[in-house]
Amino acid sequence: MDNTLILNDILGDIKTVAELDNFLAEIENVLAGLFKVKNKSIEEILDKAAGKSTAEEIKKLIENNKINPSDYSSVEKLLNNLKEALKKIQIIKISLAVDPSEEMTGHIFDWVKENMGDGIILDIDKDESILGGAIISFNGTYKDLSLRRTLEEIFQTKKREIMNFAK
Amino acid sequence: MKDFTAYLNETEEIGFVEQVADAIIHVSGLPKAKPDEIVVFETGEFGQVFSVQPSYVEILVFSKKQVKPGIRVTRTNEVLKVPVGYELLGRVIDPLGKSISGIKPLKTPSEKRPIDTPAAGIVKRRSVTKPFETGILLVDLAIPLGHGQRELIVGDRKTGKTSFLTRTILNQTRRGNICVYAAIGKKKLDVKKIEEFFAQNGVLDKMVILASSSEDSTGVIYLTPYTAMTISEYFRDEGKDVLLVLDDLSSHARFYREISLLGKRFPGRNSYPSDIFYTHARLMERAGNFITEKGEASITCLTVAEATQGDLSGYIETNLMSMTDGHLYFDKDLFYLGRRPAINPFLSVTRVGRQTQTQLRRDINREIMSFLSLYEKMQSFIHFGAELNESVKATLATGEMIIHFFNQAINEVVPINLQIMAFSMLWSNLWRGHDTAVIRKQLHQILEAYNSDKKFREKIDKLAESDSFNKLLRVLKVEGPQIIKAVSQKYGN
Repeated sequence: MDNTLILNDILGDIKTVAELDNFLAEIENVLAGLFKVKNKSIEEILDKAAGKSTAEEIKKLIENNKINPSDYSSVEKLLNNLKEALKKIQIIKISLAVDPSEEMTGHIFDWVKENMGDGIILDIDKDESILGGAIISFNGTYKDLSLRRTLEEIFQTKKREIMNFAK
Repeated sequence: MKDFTAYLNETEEIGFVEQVADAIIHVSGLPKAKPDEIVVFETGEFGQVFSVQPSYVEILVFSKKQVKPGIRVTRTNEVLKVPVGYELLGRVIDPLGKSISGIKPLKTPSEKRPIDTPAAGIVKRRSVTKPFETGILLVDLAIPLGHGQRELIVGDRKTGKTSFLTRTILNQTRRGNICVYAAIGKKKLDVKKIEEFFAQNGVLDKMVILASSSEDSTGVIYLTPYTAMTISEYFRDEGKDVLLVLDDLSSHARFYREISLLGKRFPGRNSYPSDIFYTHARLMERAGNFITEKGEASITCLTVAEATQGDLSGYIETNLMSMTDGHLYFDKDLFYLGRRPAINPFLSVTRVGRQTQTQLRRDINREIMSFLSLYEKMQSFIHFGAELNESVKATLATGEMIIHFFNQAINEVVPINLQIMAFSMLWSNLWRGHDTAVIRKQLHQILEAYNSDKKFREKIDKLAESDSFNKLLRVLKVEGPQIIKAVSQKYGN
């Protein structure tokens, strides 16, 4: 499936693992609805099974691949290929001390896209024990840039000074 | 070992458990994982990198506890090492070096060694020259072993293999050598019985018992013989002669087969993986006779393999035969005939044992083997029902006497010099006309005298230094009756 631009468009809208899971769930719904007798057209299926933006993306995909919308077997094949392509997306896991706002998530995603390229989405979780900073893992590499680690290192290296200060 | 977080911060690499198949776990991530490297799970378990694939790393886990998908894993940059030292003597430990018996806690030795090391090269090796005494008449006289020899003990189940091994260990520990007994996937009760046996005989402090039970994880069972060999190598480097017993490698092969099939290795003959030979050969090659910083020292390896229905042509049995310096075959037919030990001298082989023998022992060995061969052929005459002449009858009677001579009680250990003397006295017909019960009784008395009377022992040892068998027989024609008489008088009742 040579739909790089379309895929990039899709990935531009999907920033996090939760969004990806949502998108995949909607594709599953569309696939499930494809061969139901009562559904008459692809538009009807997309209206019932998927959200507006997902429906738009799928319509663009069908158009780009010059598939007849009523040829449900080809549509099924196309959607399965899309699912396989989306499974290859790389995930960067980030632990933060706070729940990130949508704006913050957007900023992080933009930075990742600019510095690490396309095809990467975020898996952000909240871990208050890190106090601040972030713990990042990607492709097996792990970096603890949290405030907790920094404080631990300070307490280890400057233990004597701190004890003297405390006296 | 440090904890998970410490290793995570040190290596800055993380993996996630993707798939769990009993002992084999697939982990994504860990881009710089190396084969045989230790990895730690965030739940505290640890394992070893089994193989590195393009999209995942295969880990052999050493814990029976279930590892769940999604759990984080990190590398340690270390290989698996076990503690080695004199503190292990008298203890029963698991393949990871932890004590599994004893009331007092084990003081962990400070030195640790990797369990999988390459075998020593040719420069450090020496020929097998020192005889290895098992204390079993048939073996020491007819199928002799040497220090540094690798000998396979093969036979059906319940043919007396373990009994032979326990007596050999008893004899060797009493001579001051170190013994390492590796029980691979055995029942806990069997291991306990072995521990109690050696404790009762007062030799446990010269031994290390390494045990993995059948309920342990497959990964831990797989490690058992390698850990045992590492501990043996430590004592060898201390200048000690070590006896290593691996009981048994055929069940080790089965556990390795299980691991390989779980790791989706292509099954070969009998579903064993294609590297089963290498798995055992690299272990057996670490035994032998070596020159160390503290002098010449050896690791004598007695490997056990269980045959089925007497079939010596099995895959694992033939593999082990080709990588050892001989084998002792425990014949179930001889076992049912009441022979103890049930070793078949014609199907047993020793490749390097004979070069350790003195001229006298070589003469005796030749006499025994040629006579036993003649006796076997004579047996066939009886089946025909033909009339037997006097010489055939005499041969059959002598043969029967010698067969009875080689039968030994379950815990009986006979020193080599006494074996030589006893056989020579038998060969000189000093017990002609006596029945086997009388002969056995008098042999027991001689053994008792040898063990308790220093002068008697010195006399026997001196006689056993004779240059040749014929010379010894001439001397025994005079001395023999006196020995029997003296012993009967002192130990008769």
